[in-house]
Amino acid sequence: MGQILHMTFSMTTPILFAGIGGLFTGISGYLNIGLEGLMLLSAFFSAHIANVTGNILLGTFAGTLVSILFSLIMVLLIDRFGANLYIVGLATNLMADGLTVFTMQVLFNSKGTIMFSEIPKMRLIDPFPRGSILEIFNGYTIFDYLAILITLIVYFLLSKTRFGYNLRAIGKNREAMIMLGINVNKYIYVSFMMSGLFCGLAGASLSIPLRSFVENMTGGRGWIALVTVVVSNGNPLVLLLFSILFGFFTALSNFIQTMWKSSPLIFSIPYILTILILVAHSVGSRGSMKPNSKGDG
Amino acid sequence: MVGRALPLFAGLMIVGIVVLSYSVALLIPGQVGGNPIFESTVKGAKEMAQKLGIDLKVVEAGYNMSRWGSILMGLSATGKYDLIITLTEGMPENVEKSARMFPRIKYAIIDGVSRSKLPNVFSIGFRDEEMSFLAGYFAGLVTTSSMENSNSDLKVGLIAGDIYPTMMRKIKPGFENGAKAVNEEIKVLFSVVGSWHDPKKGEELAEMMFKEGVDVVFMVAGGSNAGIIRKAEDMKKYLIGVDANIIHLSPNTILACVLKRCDLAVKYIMEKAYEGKLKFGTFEIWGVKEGAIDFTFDDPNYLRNVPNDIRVKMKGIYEELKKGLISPLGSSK
Repeated sequence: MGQILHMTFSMTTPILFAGIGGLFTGISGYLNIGLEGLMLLSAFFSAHIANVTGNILLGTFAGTLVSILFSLIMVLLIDRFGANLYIVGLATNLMADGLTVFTMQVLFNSKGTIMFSEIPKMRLIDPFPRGSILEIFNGYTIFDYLAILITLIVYFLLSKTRFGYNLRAIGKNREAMIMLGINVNKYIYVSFMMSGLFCGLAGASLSIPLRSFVENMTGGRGWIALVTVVVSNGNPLVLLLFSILFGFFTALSNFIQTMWKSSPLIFSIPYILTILILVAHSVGSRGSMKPNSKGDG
Repeated sequence: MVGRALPLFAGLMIVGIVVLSYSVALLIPGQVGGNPIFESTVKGAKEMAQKLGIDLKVVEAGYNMSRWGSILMGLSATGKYDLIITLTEGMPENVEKSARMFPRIKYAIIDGVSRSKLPNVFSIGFRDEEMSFLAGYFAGLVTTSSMENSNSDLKVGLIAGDIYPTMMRKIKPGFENGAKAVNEEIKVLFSVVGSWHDPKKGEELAEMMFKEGVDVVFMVAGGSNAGIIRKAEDMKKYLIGVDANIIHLSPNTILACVLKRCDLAVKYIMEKAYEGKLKFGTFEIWGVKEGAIDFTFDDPNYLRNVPNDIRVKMKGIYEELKKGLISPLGSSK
């Protein structure tokens, strides 16, 4: 049981980070389907820079920076040049796959797997005292704790600050906010940068603890994160819940197949669950997080 | 006059060389860089091309299976190649389709069998069950040994990238039979990553196995192997690699690799086809006996890390397989 719990949280982290990233653009009315690509870019560059410098923090910083840069390019294309939101998102995913493989080929003469030797091993942290009931939450990497902490901070930011209210209002009625004299564009740019920032952390949390990069290693986590964004309805706590649920089912399917029997049906449990959640959500609420007219193209 | 005739003459000569020389295309169903088995195949093909003066072109088709057929068709339609060689089980169908359309071009498949008997197709399949039997036998020896990181639980693991017919019908049963040949009590844990590119999930599955008492894992998971290797390093467990020698990735963790010598197959095909002696319309199955399934007997890390008695037993079982004394899939011949 302890194993499943442990695996649940460590599978949750990258999805949670990316989900938080998607949430920011989501509530401002732009559904960012480029999460997967932004994550992949950061996964590569954070691991590469961490390997070059031998410093995890610098690596994470660099990877996140690349991810923010590309999210800025995305919003520029959408806002300034009137590109379609979804086409830009798809293009980001395709480009990230191509760019990482190309860079791998140039730098390492490899297109498959790179195992970095100079990235320091991540330490597992025990923030809770021994003997207390919270002890079961000991022994994760800093990324795992950071993900939960950031979710709480974002919850506060979106529901208790003026910035959060404005961002929500822009998502609901953009024209009204323009009339009110709010600099809507500024908010949109910031929300995309936040998307880049958290997808950057998602990518780093995937590649740095493994000290390796594999072509397309995000493996659909960006899309799962997108599902959590849609069903969360703008609430980071709901998003947290769904991320953990997804992590749990992944862990459960891993557990079942190791202990009992492997079948394609068992390792598709998390994905079947995703479809069920989406169906239930669309039946229940008729999708309140629709992109606004500007992004819809 | 001479000034004008020279380029013309040179041009004719180039045309002559292009037309006369034997031209081979090697279609890689994936990407060469970073894939050890494709790297060794390309290396073998290049060596042979140099030796015989064959004109060789290597084409990467990428990992998207749905595109292989059209790429092969396009390559055939150029009409530039006398022989097109390609690899893996995903290919026979595509090759048969092209071979029917372009009867004058010859095709060869390595590590995938075409039973179509088309007069312009030749294929070589491998005895994957012998390969996994070797790995299973080695895993069994390691887990029952007194090596530093072996434990007393009689458990070994197999982590696969995906479920596919060869895995379930040949690799997995071969591995289980190999392990049980050492000790009937050995339990084989089997899990599937569900992706060839998900090291994170590979890591989690490996951790779960190691915590269950597995001390040696045979990894057949492509890029997901990276996560398995990291976890084994952290938890001080042993690994066995597949297809090519990857011991250098983690010399004290990966004890040995079972090898699939696609380079030998590609050399054989090129040489025989060049001489016009390749029996198109047939297929061959290669295994230990043909030297196509091999083991890292000579690797310095293997010699250093693996105790002598295990190495001797491995040599023994290899010889027995060679003589055909063992049937890896259990049923007697």
